[in-house]
Amino acid sequence: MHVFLIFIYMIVKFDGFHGTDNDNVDSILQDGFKISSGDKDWLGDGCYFFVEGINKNPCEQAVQWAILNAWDKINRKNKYVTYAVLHSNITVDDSKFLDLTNADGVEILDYIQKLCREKLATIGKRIHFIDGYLINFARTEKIIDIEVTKGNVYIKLNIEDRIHNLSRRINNCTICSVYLPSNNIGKNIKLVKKGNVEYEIG
Amino acid sequence: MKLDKDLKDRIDKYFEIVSAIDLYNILTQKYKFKSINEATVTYGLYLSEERTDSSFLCDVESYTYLDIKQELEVVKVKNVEDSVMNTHIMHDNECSIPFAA
Repeated sequence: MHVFLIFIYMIVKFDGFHGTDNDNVDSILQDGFKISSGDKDWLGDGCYFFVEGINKNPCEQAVQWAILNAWDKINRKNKYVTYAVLHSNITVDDSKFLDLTNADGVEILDYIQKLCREKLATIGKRIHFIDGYLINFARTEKIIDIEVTKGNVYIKLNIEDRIHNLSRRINNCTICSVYLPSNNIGKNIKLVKKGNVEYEIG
Repeated sequence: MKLDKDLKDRIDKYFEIVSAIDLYNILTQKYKFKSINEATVTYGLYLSEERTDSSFLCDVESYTYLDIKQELEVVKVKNVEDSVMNTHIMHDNECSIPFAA
């Protein structure tokens, strides 16, 4: 008697929009995205995309981000004059997708934080838990397999917020971070928008 | 991804294997978590617990805006734990700030 085990993998797919300096477009189209690190307040290391979620138009949010991100506040001038938005189809196995926009994903991160806190308490230590660091820790230490993380955050997408350093606590964007762009995006990247940086923050 | 039994067991296993000290070092050195500086003074029984971080700093860290990195000037102070271990320092039991002297 033969027993066949059938594993059903659920693939999650969504559209991602990445705003950037137009000068980066050729290298991204040719070599793919490279991950950035150090975004402790977002979703940890990875390549970031605006995706559909609590926001209706992630492409437009990527445009706004690319325009405002051009501003170099130290040198008080724009780092680039032409922005671009790239579209990618992001695909990921559900078992490697940490979705922090729903209760299931949050429960996982909360559970890891709880175990950290309890373990550290045994030696009288406490730390500031920060989302991005916790995700980096869980992923890099292989506590869980994460290739893509999605979450809701607040991002300043208008000049006034940035000039006056205003932040709301109500999130306005759904973003995702892709840690293995070659696995989850590949070469499936298209330039969907390009334009001049219209604003100067001075 | 759901916290089903398999995933829960996998997470539990990591925390069973790693020692508390190793975990602390991994979190603070490799992943840059900041330790909360707390002075817990034990004088026979628990006396007091003073949080040395300002509430302002805690607020800034929790709700700092996302796009522009803030640079905070940090004034380094002598670690309170060092003082606790120093038997020459006398603690006033009635003082809520035992290290003021």
